[in-house]
Amino acid sequence: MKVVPHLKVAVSLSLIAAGLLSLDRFLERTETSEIAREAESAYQRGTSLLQQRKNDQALEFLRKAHSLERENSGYELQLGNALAAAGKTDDAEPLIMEALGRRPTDGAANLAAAHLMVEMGEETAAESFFHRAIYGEWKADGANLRIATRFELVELLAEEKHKQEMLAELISLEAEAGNDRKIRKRLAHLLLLAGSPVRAAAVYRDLTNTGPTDSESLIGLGEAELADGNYRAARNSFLRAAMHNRGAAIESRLQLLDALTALDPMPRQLTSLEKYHRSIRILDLTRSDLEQLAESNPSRDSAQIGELLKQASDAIAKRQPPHVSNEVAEAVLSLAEQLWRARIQAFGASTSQDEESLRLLLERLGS
Amino acid sequence: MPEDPEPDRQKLNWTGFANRDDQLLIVLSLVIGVLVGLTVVAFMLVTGRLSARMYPPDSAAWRRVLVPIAGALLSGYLLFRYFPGARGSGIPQTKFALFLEDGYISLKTVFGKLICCSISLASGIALGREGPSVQIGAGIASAIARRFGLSAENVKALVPAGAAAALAAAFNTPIAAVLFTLEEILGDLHAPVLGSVVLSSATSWIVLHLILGDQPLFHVPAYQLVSTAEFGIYAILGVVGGLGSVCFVKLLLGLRLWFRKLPRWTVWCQPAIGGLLVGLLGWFHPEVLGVGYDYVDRVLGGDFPLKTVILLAVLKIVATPVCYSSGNAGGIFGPSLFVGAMMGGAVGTVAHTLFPGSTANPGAYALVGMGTAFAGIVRTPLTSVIMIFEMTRDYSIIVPLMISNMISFFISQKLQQEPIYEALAHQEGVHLPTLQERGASGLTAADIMVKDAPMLPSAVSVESLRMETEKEQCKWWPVGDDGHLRGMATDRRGVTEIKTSFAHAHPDHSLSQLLERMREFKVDALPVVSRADIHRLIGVVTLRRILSVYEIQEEQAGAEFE
Repeated sequence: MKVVPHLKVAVSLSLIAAGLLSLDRFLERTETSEIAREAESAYQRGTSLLQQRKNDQALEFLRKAHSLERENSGYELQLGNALAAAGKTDDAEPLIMEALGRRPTDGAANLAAAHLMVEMGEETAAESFFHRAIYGEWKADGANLRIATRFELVELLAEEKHKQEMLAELISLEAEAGNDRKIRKRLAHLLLLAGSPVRAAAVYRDLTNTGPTDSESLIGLGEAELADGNYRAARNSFLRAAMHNRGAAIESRLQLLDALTALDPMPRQLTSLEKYHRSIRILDLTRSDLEQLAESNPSRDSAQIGELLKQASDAIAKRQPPHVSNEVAEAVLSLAEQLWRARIQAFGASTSQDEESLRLLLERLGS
Repeated sequence: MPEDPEPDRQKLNWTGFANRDDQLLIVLSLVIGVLVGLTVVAFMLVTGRLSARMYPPDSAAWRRVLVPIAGALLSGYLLFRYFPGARGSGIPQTKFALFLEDGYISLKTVFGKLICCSISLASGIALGREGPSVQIGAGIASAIARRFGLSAENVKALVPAGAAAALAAAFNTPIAAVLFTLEEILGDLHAPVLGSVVLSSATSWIVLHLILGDQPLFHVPAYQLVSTAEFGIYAILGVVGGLGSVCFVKLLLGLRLWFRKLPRWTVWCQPAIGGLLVGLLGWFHPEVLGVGYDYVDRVLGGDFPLKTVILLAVLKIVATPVCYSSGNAGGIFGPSLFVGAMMGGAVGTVAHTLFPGSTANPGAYALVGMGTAFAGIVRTPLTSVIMIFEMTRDYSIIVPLMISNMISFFISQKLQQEPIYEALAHQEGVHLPTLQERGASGLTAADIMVKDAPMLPSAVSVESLRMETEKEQCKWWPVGDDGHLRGMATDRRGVTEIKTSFAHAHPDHSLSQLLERMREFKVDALPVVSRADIHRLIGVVTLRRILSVYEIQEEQAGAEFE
């Protein structure tokens, strides 16, 4: 065996191997960067389409992004989100759960799992994943993403009408929200939905103090005060809003508040006589509403309703007592409440715009 | 002096090897593994990047028609003019080199294969890169072994190592690569070259991982066997896979025969027919273009509708045979996996729709379907099972795979008796030796044949024929024209009778095989022809010569006993 020629061949082969290795490295780097660019572009397009609710088109792009860069968990989760949004929960589940299995404390993965559970109708599991997402790890912009996640959770709770839990989340949000007007407006709106008009009004008031021309906040404040029964204050807020943004919606709210202010038997400065007159007016409106409903739906009429209507007619027809006390007015209002309850029991709650003032007043009286 | 019970042990040196050649073979197996791994990775990356440039994202539809035609024309011309040895898949060519040419594959063929396959595959021709990789790997191994001045036997020993290294890098399945080399290339699971094959396969796989990382060829979801009733569905998949495989193979062989009949001057432009067809199909269904692994990935994820998977299976069954038979450079491994995935996806989708509670996701069936088509088309059942097992790394897939692969293999064997690579070799006029023929010992046809036997012309007179047959004391003699053997002639009552369908022998046939063949075809003479071209006469072997050999041996034996 000749050693020198073998040495020459070995050196040549080493040089060829080194050349091939350099070529491979260069090609691999080129491929990686090109694929990364292509995947990013597909991801952006898919995400944009997903935001436009074009789920099927979004899926195409997000699938491409995921298949180009399998190790990118962001692409994987977004594909899972798109699949879940398109109702393909069977396909989304393994994808999201696999990502979650790899990083159980990842905020984005938990959020995707929460979205999936919402789509699958598993609200309890969804709430749990939302909480894990809120307290999970986020790669960037964690504070804002946590707030956005908590808002999503609140909206889910709102849909389920879990007002207590909703309020608890909103109170946490109030502390996290900072001074961002957009976030605070959304917070105030949700506080109102959670049945806390006082807290909502406080946030709105704060917003109107720092932005007196912000008609949106003024309208919000008006709504919060309206829900709290402060009709005069609400009217003032709507009037201030109308100065910056007059529209049909504000007009209709002002008309309602005018009606409420005229009917409201609760203001402190009201005399007993005036309260009595307003009570009689409320009773009359309630009675005529119930009478109309009983006539148009005789099958749902009952002896109890007949009796109540008779009592109401008697009370209205009765001459005004010489001395009108607060108790007399309260008795009339109590009868009006009974009529309203009977109406709801037999014919359901009122949805009519015309009856809104009556409904608001009687609901407030009954609360 | 007592005899040493293990005399061979004395010959071993400190490394444990018998001689320096064995040491060199082991070292060269590692070197081949590295170089082949690096080359195959470069081949895959170049093809991928070239393809990305041919079809940029959101490119116009006309590209899908024109690019395959242009690519096929360019590679077709290069193959015709400069690299005729680089045509086709690469598997039969590797076997020809191994068994007929002492393992010789020129570096020119290796370069040609790299260039032409990169062009045709990047342009969207519906063929795969694994078969060509095998020829490239085998060619590199052959060139290295020759450079080191190894004997023909040792060159032949290293060629399978190169083939295995290439397949290990191309498929990312080192065990399946070893098995494929033994099962298909060598046709012998007990081949003595196992050690070097394993070494080079493992080395090449390590190189692949060092450069490209731990990225599998396909992203396979976790395999699930939901209920035992699924075994029945896997059996149905085996039937579907088997029938699909037979369609694929028969179409490919039929078309190849048709293309071979076209005038020789059309050979350079024939690949364009494949390019045109795949381009037209690609206009409507881009999934047909190229090897289509992206779409296999998607079917494995179970997100293709039934109509699409059926359509894609059918289109690929048409497109790949046309591309291959028209003479494009590329293999059928990749496309067979594509067809299998689509057929599996279709069966899985139907099963999952009908029995959602007791069947797995269609992706699981697509996965098994890949093995099923591979077993039916390539006819390497063991490799197909291990390959899919290596891809999933999940033991629970073994039984379903075995069920469907064996059924597919059995159906394919029944309906298409000749395996695809053997049939392609026969179309080329090449008869590769069987395992039994390769193992023949003692005297062979080459030792006793009439060398330089004159081939009589087809229009031979009965007198001339008698002269030759009487000289060798036989009844049959080869006839042909221009060095092209046409048949065997005999004197039938004063008239020359020519049989164009005749039995033949190869130089490596043993005497017993010759006798067996003479008895079977009732002749007393056989033309000895080249394995590379059965129309090239090498000699004539007659019954009298065989018997005379045995007589001499008998006489010698008798003398010894006396």
